Amino acid sequence: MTGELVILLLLIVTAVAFDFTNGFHDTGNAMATSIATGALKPKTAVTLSAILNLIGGFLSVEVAVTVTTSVLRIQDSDTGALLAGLDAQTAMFIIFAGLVGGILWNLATWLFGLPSSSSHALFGGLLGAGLAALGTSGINWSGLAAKVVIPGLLSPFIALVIAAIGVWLVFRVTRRVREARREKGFRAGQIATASLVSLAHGTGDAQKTMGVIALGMIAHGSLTSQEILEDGLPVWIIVVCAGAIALGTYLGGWRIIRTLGKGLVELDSPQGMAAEASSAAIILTSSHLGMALSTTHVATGSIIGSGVGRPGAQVRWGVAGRMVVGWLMTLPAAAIVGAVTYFVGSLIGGVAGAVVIFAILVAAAALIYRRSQRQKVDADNVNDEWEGGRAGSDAPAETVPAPAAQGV
Amino acid sequence: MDIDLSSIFSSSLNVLLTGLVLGAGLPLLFSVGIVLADRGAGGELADGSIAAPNPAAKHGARAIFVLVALIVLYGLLFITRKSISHYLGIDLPLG
Repeated sequence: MTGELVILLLLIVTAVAFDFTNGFHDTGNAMATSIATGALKPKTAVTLSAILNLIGGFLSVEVAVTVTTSVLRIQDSDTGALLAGLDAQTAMFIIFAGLVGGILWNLATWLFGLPSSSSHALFGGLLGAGLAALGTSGINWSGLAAKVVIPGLLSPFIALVIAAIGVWLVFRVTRRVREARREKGFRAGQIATASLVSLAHGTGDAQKTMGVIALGMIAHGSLTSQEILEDGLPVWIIVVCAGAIALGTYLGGWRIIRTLGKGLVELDSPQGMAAEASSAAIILTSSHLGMALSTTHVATGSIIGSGVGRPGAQVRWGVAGRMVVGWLMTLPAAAIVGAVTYFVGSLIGGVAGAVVIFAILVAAAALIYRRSQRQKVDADNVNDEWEGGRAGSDAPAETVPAPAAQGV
Repeated sequence: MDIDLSSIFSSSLNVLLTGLVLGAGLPLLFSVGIVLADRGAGGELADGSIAAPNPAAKHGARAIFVLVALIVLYGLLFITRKSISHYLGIDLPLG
């Protein structure tokens, strides 16, 4: 086995790990509302979502091989091939370090129950690694602004407005309907719309990891963009990525589900349906309309909107504010981790560098996981009253330290 | 750095408008269905009065739910149109 093959294998394992964190980080986007309103039992909800993510992953036939082009200049934006003058090892280290940045930020935000965009975390990691490797010329600044930052800032507001109007209309129209009937009727609608969000998530997000793995293999030379164009992706990539995102979804990011479903707004099923309908409509149409939006930003905006639009409902703006801070920190924080990882890896160099990076990743992930076990959130306490912040905790939510303090 | 702000603005506006039609319009339609289903069922109302079942409202509710289901089905086919074309060779005339 050559050294570069070892690096590639570690990169692939890391990419699959990222895909897995992507799954459990985003379960809440689709299912938090159904879980919070009791439309679905927590375990049923994550199982349904996992199956739909799995199907969605297999539906990804058009692969985002050019996934890095919106932030980096290491690939041809049409064919996905590596740019000339970039050697295989540098390219693999950039992708590798970018993934590490994405994973660690995903884990840190999960620990604090913050829903933050997995795509932004990945882009942030790649950005940092790219800066560290190639300097500012390696960054596609206008792509970063136009495809990541600006849509990231706009999407929560768009979702908020749509969900708020939807909820207002729903309550206006159904105000004379008997409570029990209303609750029951909207539960069905809520499950349907949440399922659409799950399916769309599987289709979109599993594809990103597939693109990253494909890119790693292109950099290594074991796959060419021409082959992908002609025969599609190797089937094992699709199977592994769809499986990893589904498994992650099934495990359920209960901490994040809790924040989304209980922390922001007290939800009932008409609100849940309006929020998911808004999310589904935006996620399904936005990429078609030339603006790919983060599922997380949209889902969160919709849930807040369902509180804004309902007369008499209360939004916990403190929780929402903390989330926004998390979002703003996502790109820079993941970038710092990505850059540091790249430096460490390239300083040691070669297989040893890749092994060290991988070991650091495993150690940091284990640390975060151990920390999370002190205050468990799972299917049993995910719907506990929000008073006091997190489940199983007496400490007021406000004393929770900023996410940056951990895991970075 | 070269950012096309007007195109970002116009795609945002597109997302907002399409989102409003589908994301708020669909729950609205569904709500009308719920109202009709409630009327159709009759029985004791919130104010204590008893209403007779209303078959017309019941049919109306059913029609609306079918319509909503069709729109959702359209959404499903829309997400999967490329896969359907890839695996089954059928090109759906969607968007």
